[in-house]
Amino acid sequence: ASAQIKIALDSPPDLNGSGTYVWAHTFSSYLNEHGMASEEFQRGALGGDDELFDQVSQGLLEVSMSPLNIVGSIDKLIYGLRLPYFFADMEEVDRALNAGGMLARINAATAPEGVRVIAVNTVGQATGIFNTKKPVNSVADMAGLRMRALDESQIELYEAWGAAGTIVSWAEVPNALQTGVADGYMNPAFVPLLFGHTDFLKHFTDARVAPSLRITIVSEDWYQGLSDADRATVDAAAAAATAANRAWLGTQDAVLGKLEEAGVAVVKLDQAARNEFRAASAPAYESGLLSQDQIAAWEAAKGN
Amino acid sequence: MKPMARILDRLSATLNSIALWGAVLAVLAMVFAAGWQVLARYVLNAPPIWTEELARRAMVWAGMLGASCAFRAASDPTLFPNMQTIRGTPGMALALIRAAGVIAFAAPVIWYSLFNARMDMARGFLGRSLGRQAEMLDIPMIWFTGAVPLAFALILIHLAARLMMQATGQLPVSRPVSQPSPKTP
Amino acid sequence: MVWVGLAAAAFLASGLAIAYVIGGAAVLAFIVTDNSRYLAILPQQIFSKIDVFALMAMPLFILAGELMNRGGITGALINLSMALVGRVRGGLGHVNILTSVFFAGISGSAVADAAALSNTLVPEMTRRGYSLTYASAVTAASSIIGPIVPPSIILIFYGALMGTSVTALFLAGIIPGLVLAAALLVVNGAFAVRQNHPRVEKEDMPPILPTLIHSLPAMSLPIIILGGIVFGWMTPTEAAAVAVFAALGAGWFYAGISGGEVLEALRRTAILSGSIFIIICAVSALGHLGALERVPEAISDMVARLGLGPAGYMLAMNVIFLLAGMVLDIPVALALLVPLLAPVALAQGADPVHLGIVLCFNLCIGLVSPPMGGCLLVVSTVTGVSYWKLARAVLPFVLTQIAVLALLVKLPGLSLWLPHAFGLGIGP
Ligand code: NA
Ligand code: NA
Repeated sequence: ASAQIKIALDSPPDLNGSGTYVWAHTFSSYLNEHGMASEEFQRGALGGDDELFDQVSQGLLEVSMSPLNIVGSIDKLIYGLRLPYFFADMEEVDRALNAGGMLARINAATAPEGVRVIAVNTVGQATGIFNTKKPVNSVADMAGLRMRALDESQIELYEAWGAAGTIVSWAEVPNALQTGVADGYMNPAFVPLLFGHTDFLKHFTDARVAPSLRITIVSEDWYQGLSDADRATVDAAAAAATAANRAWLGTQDAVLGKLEEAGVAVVKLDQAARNEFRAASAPAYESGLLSQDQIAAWEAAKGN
Repeated sequence: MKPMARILDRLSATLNSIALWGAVLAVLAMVFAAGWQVLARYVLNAPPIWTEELARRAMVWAGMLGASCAFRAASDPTLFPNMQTIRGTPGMALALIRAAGVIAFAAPVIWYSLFNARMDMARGFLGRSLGRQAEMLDIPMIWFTGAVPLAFALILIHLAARLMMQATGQLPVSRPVSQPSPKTP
Repeated sequence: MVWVGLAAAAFLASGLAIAYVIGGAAVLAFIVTDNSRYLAILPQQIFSKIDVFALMAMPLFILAGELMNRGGITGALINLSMALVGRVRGGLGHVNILTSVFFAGISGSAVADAAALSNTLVPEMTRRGYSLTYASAVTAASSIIGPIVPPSIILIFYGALMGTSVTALFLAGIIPGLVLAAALLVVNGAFAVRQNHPRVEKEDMPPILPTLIHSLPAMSLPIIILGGIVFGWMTPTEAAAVAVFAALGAGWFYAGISGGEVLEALRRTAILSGSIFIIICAVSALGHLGALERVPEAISDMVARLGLGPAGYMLAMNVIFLLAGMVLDIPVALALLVPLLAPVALAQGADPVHLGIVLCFNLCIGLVSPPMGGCLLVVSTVTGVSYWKLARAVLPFVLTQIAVLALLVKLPGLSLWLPHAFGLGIGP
């Protein structure tokens, strides 16, 4: 069984709905077609995010689809991908990671821990603002909203916009939204459709704050232990998978229409309002999550 | 042998009372952190971000230390608790079988907390968690992950003490349990 | 694998606690299946399975229950029930059941209920002409209302295992718990007529108004806990912490609970929680081996081959959990069986919240069924009725409970109506 390459999934095996599954499945199919046996493990089967990370770092799991913050606990550089209004589109993300050398810099910090980030995947369109109360047409409309936050840096962003933040675990989010513990959250447009939150989230602002990303990590021991030919196959499989993931994003344009069908009013920001949001997000660049040097490195890597 | 067994048993008892106090403090930390969260949300209108993580990590300490205390008190649910009251040679044989089960479970937990598969201490479970930060509390994860191997080490000490006391005939002859121990919740 | 099975049997027969039987056998199974290198991640597996947000409410509700038992709250609840239903024929039997409903709104544990009422109400019932056996049987049978009406340690545990909203599970338990109570009241009424049970005499009745006022601090507890959770003022964990403070306050009001008693409650909480945590530790090892060997997939393949279909599978699951509840400790049964069997049910379209209530109900019936009925053990220990005599006397109630269970399985709406009304537990 040890010859099998194990891939831990992070989403249901849905080639239409899940961008990370598109990546994982393209990757595993490519490997299987090129003589490297691989198998997919259902989400959760091998454990939660922390356990998968630990298995990868010990060389006991070859490939895991994981959240950004799993390597953020080793080195915070990767949080550059979360900076609000930093990347124009996925092309710019890819440029910064590859030509700009940021993926290599991230891996320089994670490799000693036995972990290599082999790909950054999009899970949907850039994040927007959902809420239960009112249409948000400008930064000023954020006042009075209490938004569900993932962490301290997100709370700071909400406060910079004049709103408030509160940390709620994902399992309790529907209840929090129903009862007003939280009034909304920031997520890609497909999320409330997938989790059935459209009954109470009534407003969506397509604010395009930041790309919605997850990563693929592989075991560094395994990767370095491959023969040159096998490593080339793995690299080619990853390239094919990333291309498929980006192509999948192009099929997701219908999601705003589906939101409207589900009764969620969609606000599209004009350029002035977008600039306003971008300007109001400035404090997020000084939160201390990333050093000014790190931000400068990301800026340079974009190559604009 | 007899005095040695008594020394070990005293060590086990002392460590147990420290662990029990630790567990009680951890439960109190949970109560206050979770209570503070409610108060802060409604009275100060500012839910703090560290309370949830603090309460959760305190729970890990309470639960793991509590597990070692439950082992020392022999209060874990058991299908045939009367077997524990048998003394003499058959009793010792049973005790050794029980010890084998406990060691089979605890040994890999402790070993792989210290080392990884290549005997590298820096890459054992504790070594790895030294290099990772907690989510909201800005301290290394080892402050929380340490609870796991510590509890299992305590369990092995309690086990050794009980075995020694039984081998030297110093374990009190307890009344036979009239029925299995009550189920937990 | 045969050797591992034999070793596990030897561990079990030697009187080793179940958690260590599972943990020890799991490690041996890793070795014989040539998966021993995966033991290197065992410590992280264990840590991840206990470092879980949804588990937090469990030790806190255990503590609230411990404080409540020491603080005279039970007495206030009994008096209130007496004032409400004491004058009916079979009055004290009804009082016993109704007290368990009130108790259930505060405590998450059936065993705590069984212990409290065996100590207080059973002597009262025998003094008024009930047989000791019948009084004990009613006490045991109605104690399982405890973990079905929220808060519930079993539902917290299920929610943590399945990633299901504990709030939704709590809401879903309310109506099934009340239906169960109603069914037990009917059975008690029937016995009261047939065996000519007494009612509480007028001169023995507590005066209504003062009783009501006196019970207010006790009754405020379930209102704070349930209201807090239902209306979203607090998460279940926060409600559990508030319940601890409230139980402490009420205990001080009724009995002037001492510092020593509080410390003892804290110690008991740590040890009881520890027993549950070590089970989670043990099962986390087994669960990872199951995933590596693709056991869940094998089970769903087997179900597909057997052609059970959703209804047949649900029935099979009920039988398995009912039997498991009869022989296993509840956390053991949940931790072993839920990750293995529940995903297949969900894949066949079962609702995770409804499933949680049904499985909880199954395991609770196990608490009052031989051979290992935890509540039977507690009641027989306290009241001195022999275990098997009590098991026989409880049987009519158990059959009633199985009938209520069948109703719950058949009508998911009984569980799901309330959470859906609050917009919870809908959607994928
Ligand atoms: Na309850
Ligand atoms: Na009762």
